[in-house]
Amino acid sequence: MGAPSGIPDQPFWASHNKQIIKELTVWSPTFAKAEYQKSIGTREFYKILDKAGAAVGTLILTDAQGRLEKFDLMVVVDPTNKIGLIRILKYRSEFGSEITNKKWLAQFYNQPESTFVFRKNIDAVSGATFSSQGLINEINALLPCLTEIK
Amino acid sequence: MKRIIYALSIILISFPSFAQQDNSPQNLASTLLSKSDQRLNIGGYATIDMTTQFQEGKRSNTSLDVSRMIISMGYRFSDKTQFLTEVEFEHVKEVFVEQAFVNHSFSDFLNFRAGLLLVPMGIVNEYHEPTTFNGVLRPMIDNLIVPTTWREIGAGFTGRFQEIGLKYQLYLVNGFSSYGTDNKGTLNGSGFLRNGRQRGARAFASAPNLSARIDYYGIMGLKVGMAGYFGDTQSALFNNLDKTDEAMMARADSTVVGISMVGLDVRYSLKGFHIRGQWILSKQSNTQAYNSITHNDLASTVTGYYTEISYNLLKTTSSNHQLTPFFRYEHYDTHFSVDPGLTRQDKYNVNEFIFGLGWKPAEGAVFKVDTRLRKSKTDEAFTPWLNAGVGVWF
Repeated sequence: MGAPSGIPDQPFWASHNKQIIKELTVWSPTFAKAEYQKSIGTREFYKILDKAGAAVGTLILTDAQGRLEKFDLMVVVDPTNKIGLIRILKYRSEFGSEITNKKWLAQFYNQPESTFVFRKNIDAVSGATFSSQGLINEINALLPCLTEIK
Repeated sequence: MKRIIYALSIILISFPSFAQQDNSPQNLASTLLSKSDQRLNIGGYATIDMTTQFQEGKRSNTSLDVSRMIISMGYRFSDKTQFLTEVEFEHVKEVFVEQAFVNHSFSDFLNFRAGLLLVPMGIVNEYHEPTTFNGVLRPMIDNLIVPTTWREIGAGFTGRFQEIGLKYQLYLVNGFSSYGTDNKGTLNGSGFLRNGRQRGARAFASAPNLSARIDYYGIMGLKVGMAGYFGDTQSALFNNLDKTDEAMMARADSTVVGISMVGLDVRYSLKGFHIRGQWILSKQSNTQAYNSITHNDLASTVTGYYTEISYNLLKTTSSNHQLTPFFRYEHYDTHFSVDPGLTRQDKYNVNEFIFGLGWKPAEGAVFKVDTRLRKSKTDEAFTPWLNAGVGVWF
């Protein structure tokens, strides 16, 4: 079966389109669209454009390793590569869903650091030790990729 | 099909959009679907303990034990259906299954699961891995009042509401065996429910029990849990019982105890500090008849609580190790109130102070040492224990 218009046969991210668009609109009320740029490994990078057509940031769709299972997330960075938003789109595992807590995720936002360290600049969360570290590892790994997609 | 795609394209063009271009590579879905080698995930945890009790005027030997070695496995049949299990070796020689259930996710809000389930009561029964609690041994309340690891065969629903940070669990599970085929009562003052656990091993059922829990984690660093457990215990006397035999029916009825347990627990982390507390109250009905037929001393009310504080001394240093002293106070009374036919025993009214140190050279591995001081209301002095152990979780 063909997949015109970029709508995949297995519309994985597509099944999260609504949530991704909603989150982007809350993050930037002038949000117009996200344009695919590049994939590095399983990370997909999208340019975020506002209604005037200006680039206002980058959206990254990726996954991270929990204790037994991976989970999928979206990360938004501003033009200075500071994190503006993280949302867990799909959390599969029985354990560690506490990292979906928005206030916990907000620890990453607008930080000058480019490396995050569990229990140092990112506090632990009860019940989600493995997933927290998995998320930190993924964030630390994807931030350097941003220089490759400009 | 074409019409649907056309309609979707229109929607994507007309509204703020998130769309891949034609030249986009395989997305994560296809990557995930092809990751067949990741369908099976294996983890585990283990505890190896050393405990010494000091008694005045007596010598005591030290006990050394590979108390637990667990292999956990998860198998994902599809994105929505998975099987989870933990196979456990206790004291090297005893084999148990700690969990074994199939979970099907309809959505984040609604999952159905059935199998051998952990009863969600208190902190440690669900999170019993050694790196998640301080001290070599689990808190006494999570041993004596909540009979960790408490698991029974059952089925029910669970789900979470990410927006508000709420998780719920609602299960029907098999209950404790209060009277076995050996014609002995299993529940009493010293062990409370512990010997009544059936653990899914040739278990028998005469009445289902309800188990429910709500966790709130919507505030940064805080986790609050409320749990309830309600139902009648199971008695072997109901098997092959003639319904017209009133005397035997009455005898069987008197071997059943009604249990209503509620629990509240709180965990809070802030800047290297971790505070946790737990309170459990369990009310038993029909204890007078039960004690009279079994000659046991089961209380009608059992209660206990603990509170604990710990601090990671290396939090503000550059080290990735954790060095965490802790202090815990526990109070429990498995004879808080008894029926009129029974004398309340003060020896079941106990205070404990536990202080110690945990060193985690890496997340998931811990060396522990602690001192436990125990004193019941009938004791004149505290009995000390010295414990040391290692624990891993991966």
